[in-house]
Amino acid sequence: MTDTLGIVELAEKVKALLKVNADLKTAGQQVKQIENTKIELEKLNTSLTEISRSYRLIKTRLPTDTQITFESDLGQLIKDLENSRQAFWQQQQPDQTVNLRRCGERAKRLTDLLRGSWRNYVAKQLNPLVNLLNLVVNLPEVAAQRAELQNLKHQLTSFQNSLPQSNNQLQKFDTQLESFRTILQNLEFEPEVRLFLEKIQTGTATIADLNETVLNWCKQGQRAKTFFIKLG
Amino acid sequence: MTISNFKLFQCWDEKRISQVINPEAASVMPADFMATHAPFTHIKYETHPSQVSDTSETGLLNELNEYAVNEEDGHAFVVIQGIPGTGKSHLIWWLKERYAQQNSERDEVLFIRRAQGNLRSTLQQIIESGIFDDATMQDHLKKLKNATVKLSNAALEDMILNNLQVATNEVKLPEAVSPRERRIKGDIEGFLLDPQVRFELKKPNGPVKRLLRFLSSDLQHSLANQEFPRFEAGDFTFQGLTADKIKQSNFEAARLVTQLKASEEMRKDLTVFLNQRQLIDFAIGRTINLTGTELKDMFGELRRELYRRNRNLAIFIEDVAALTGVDAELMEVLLERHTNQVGLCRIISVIGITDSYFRDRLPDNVRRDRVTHHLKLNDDQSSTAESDLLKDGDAIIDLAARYLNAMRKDRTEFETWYNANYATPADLPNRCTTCPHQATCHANFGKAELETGAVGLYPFNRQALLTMYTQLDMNKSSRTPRALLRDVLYYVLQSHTPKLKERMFPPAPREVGSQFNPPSWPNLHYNTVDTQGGKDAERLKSLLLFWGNKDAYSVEINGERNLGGLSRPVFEAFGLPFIEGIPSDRKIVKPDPVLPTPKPDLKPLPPKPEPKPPLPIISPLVITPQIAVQRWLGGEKLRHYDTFARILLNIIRDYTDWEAHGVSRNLLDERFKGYSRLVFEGQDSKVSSNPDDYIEFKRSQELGLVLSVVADIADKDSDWQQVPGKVGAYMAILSGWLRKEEARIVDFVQRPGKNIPAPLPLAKLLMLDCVFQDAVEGRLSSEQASPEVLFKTVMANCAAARDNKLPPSKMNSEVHSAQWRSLFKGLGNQATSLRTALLTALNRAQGNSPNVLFVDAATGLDILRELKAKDWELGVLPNLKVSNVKVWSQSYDNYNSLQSSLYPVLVGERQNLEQSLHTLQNYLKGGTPETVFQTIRDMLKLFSAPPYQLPHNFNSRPDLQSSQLTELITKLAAVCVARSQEELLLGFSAAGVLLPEVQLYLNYLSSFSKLLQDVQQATERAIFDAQSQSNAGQIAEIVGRNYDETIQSLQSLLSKEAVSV
Repeated sequence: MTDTLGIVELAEKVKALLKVNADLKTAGQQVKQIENTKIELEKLNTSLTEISRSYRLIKTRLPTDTQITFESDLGQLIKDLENSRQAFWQQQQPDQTVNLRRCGERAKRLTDLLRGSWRNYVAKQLNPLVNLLNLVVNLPEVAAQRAELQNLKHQLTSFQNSLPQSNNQLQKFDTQLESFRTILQNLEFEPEVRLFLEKIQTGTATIADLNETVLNWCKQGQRAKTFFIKLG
Repeated sequence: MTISNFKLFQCWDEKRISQVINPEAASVMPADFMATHAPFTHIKYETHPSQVSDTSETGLLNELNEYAVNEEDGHAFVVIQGIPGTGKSHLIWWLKERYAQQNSERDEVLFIRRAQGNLRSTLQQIIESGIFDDATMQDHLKKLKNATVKLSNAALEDMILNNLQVATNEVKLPEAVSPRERRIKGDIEGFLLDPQVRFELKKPNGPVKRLLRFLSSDLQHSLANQEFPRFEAGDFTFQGLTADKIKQSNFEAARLVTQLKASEEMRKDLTVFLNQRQLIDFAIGRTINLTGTELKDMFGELRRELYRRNRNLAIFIEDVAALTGVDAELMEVLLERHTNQVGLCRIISVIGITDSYFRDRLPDNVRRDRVTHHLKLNDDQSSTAESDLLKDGDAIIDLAARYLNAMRKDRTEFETWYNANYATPADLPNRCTTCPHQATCHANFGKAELETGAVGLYPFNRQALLTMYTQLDMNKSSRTPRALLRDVLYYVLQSHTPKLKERMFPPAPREVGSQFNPPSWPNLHYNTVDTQGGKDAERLKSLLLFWGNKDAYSVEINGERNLGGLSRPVFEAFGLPFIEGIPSDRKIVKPDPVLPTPKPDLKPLPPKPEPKPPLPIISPLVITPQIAVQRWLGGEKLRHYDTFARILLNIIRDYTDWEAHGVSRNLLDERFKGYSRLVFEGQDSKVSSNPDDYIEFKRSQELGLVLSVVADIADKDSDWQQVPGKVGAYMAILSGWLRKEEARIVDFVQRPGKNIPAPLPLAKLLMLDCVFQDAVEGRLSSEQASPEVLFKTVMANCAAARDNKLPPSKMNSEVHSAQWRSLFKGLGNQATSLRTALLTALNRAQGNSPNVLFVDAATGLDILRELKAKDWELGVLPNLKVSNVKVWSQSYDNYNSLQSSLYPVLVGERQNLEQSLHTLQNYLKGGTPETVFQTIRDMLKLFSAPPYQLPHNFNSRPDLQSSQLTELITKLAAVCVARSQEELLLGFSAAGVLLPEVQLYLNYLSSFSKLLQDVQQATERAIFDAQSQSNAGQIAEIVGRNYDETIQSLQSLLSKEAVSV
């Protein structure tokens, strides 16, 4: 016999405890669902964080139509998320995995959109320089910087494969790109040579473009052996 | 002498009995008082200013009258001292009446009667006397009236205790000398503040009640005469349980009680401390809002006012103790001589004072120097409370005759006498003078010669009055005029007058009075009365014992046959047969008994023994019992012991009034188990080695004569029954010897051993054993609290035990405390034999028949009343070896077991009951029995229904009811709060039935409580587990936050600024 509670009091306490216990059993089942929701939301959050971060970094480098598409899709995603939140809190639907997965799919599409646009952007920046490099890479003037240019080319090319996640990354990209460009532009070519090389790069050079200056430049040193003639 | 109509005659008026003798002495009218006043012929003067030649009351009155006319030095302070009931009041009243008659023109006479013996009625008398009615005294009158109103306040008990407590603090007392006094002074305030101490002090007959009886008449019982408003050592004998409670109280009370319990000296010292008059007077004065000083001022003012009116003051106070609280200051007023202070009237005061007041409250200097006349009405050398006034038989007769005379005429006749003739004694109305039976009555019942002439003593006679007075039980009464009037005249006439006409007066000896006992028969004559008296035998015994000579001798006086000293008309007057009695040819002389212990009345001499017969001629080889006696007297061994002892033992057994000595048959059988218990000095038979086992009779001529008679009786050839006068002679010899030896024989029987005193009368010991046995066996309850019901119960149980019909007790059950069970086991073995012994001890023979018995309820009830009065406290018996006599050893051992273990048993059982009650109340906490039982039903229903469906082993008991539980708790609680030992014992005994039922409920509730606790624990565990596993709320909150953060983060992307730089 407890010294503090009479039977009536004890019974009241037991009754209350039983109710709490019953409530807890019900609550135990919801926990699983909430935890699943939480996991799903965390997953979504991870991808959305990456997307957000990337988008913030590269938004200005994206084409306008891409931005419009992206933000339109993002608005839909936000709407879906708000609905899910409302269902979770207010309609006490702890299991939001389905809704969140749907959001996740939207997020993936956003990621794909951003990745594609970024890849395009990088290619657009990099391709002319790479072509130039390909033209001159074997020239004796380039020999001293060939390794550096190849390295820059390689690093810049790798930026295509993943969205930048930080300013540093982006700045690094920009810096390397600028270095790449600068090195290539600083190669000492006569203007007729530079023009000729550029035409070669674009595939528009003809015999007619082989003027005196160009031919002299081609015959200097060992350079002549580096050119091959190809017909049409 | 021829008597015609003097039969069943009632010459007194029944209603006049209580008018003339008022036991409370409150409202006797002056005329009746003067009519019954017996003159005090000799008053003892302890102090007197001059030689006293006339010590009668008239001499004293004359003295006062002389003072009254002596304007120069008429101051008198007369103290009349005497124990209660000695006649102080009568003398003072009589003095007042006479003094007022002769001095009313000169004096204001104030008479303060004892009345109810309390201060309130005393103050009321002063108010009603009109002495303060003068316009100049109105303020004083108002103060007095206010004091009487205070005294009617119901809260007086606490007021007086509070004021006593204040007094211990405020009154300056002499410095404490001894360590004990210092301890008392240190602790007394806390002690008097303790609720339990106050409860004890306020108990009936406790000191506060006694004090209040002195103060107020609103209490039910007036103060007993012996009581003073004072504390007694016994007031502080706190019993075990009470003492324990006090010890849990405030520190001072606890400490003082511990010391009081341990030390008789401490109790006495506390009594002395609290009885200091400064304390009591302070407390009383503060309580009634009238201090002694104020009363003194009032009387001082009164004396000045009377002086201005050229009058004097005479104050007569029956008992100054009735003014306790203001008495000291009033005394100062009375002692103040008018010659000491100009403007005061002369004062004469006569005050009654009891011995104890004189000793304890009258200051030494007053006693020594200021009392002008100190008179005493009793002898203070006497060890008993006895009045000097009635030490003379004639004085008793004189006083009784005056009251009998007053009862024979209507009050108006005495009032006429009182008013017309100044109550001249010679003119007192006397009915005897006109009574047609006067001659017969006075000749046969006696008379007293008063101033008014001869007054008959009928229905008493001189012998009856003296016997009843001398037989007063000094434990209950005292030999005073008041006792003579109240316990003899009033009781006998008031109780038995209606019986006269019905031929039932006087009643049986034990019924005649309540405060006096019938005298013992000094002979075997009651057998004769039984035989000859038939249905009137008991009344005849009363007549012979009280009115007569306590014998049944029939003798002739002046040619008229008298029986037991009484003439035929006495018998006829009460409608009694004038039986033959025991013939005797002697004439008798009947002297008055001398008080206080009457000399043995001279009895008619028994017939002279026949001359000794010559020794028969026998063969020298045959030693007959007769020869054996002669040789034994000559110094030889006593032969034929068996014959002598056997016959003498039969005579002792048959002719001793064992009943009168309270000896039961079983005790008699036990002590006289075989005649070997009688031993004659020099007998030739073996004597027990244990001297406690036998009673020895020494070799003597007297015993020789007795044995010679026994020898003749034993002789089959003897013709003793045929020889005229021989039977009578033999009876006289045997009864004479028996009478002489009776006390010793009875003493032998009553004791456990010859040299071992009886620790208590056997019947009492057995009764106490059996009462407690019944209590321990659970056969009593509070319904048996009254001695009458208790007696019936105990006797019924005894009878049932004797007949093997007493149901076994269940008090050995585990539901009782270990102490109780231990006592139960210890007592159990001898219970039946003790109960049987008690039945026998209280059995009394109806008449002469040994087979017709009745139970002596009076003795049993007396024992039980005493037990009740002592609150069932068993006193400690002396340490004795009483193993020789079974009934003694059993009862003594049982008593000692009870006595020694009673207190721990009560404590243990009380704790046991309190524990049960506490446990029950704990179960019921927060609800009632009804709600608890409803809860049990509800919970069981809940447990069995979804979603819980809890399995359990608890069995519902529809037979247990909440109403019964309520009743049990009420009963149990009542026992637990019992304070007195009686209440506790009876309560615990009754709890014998109660406790098993209580246990049933306890088990039931305990079992259910256990179920609840189990469920509680299991559920709490489940909740803990669930709670430890589940943090749904927290997770949900996290999820919510995640939602918000994610959404906010995404929304921020849609703003124009959402670009990282």
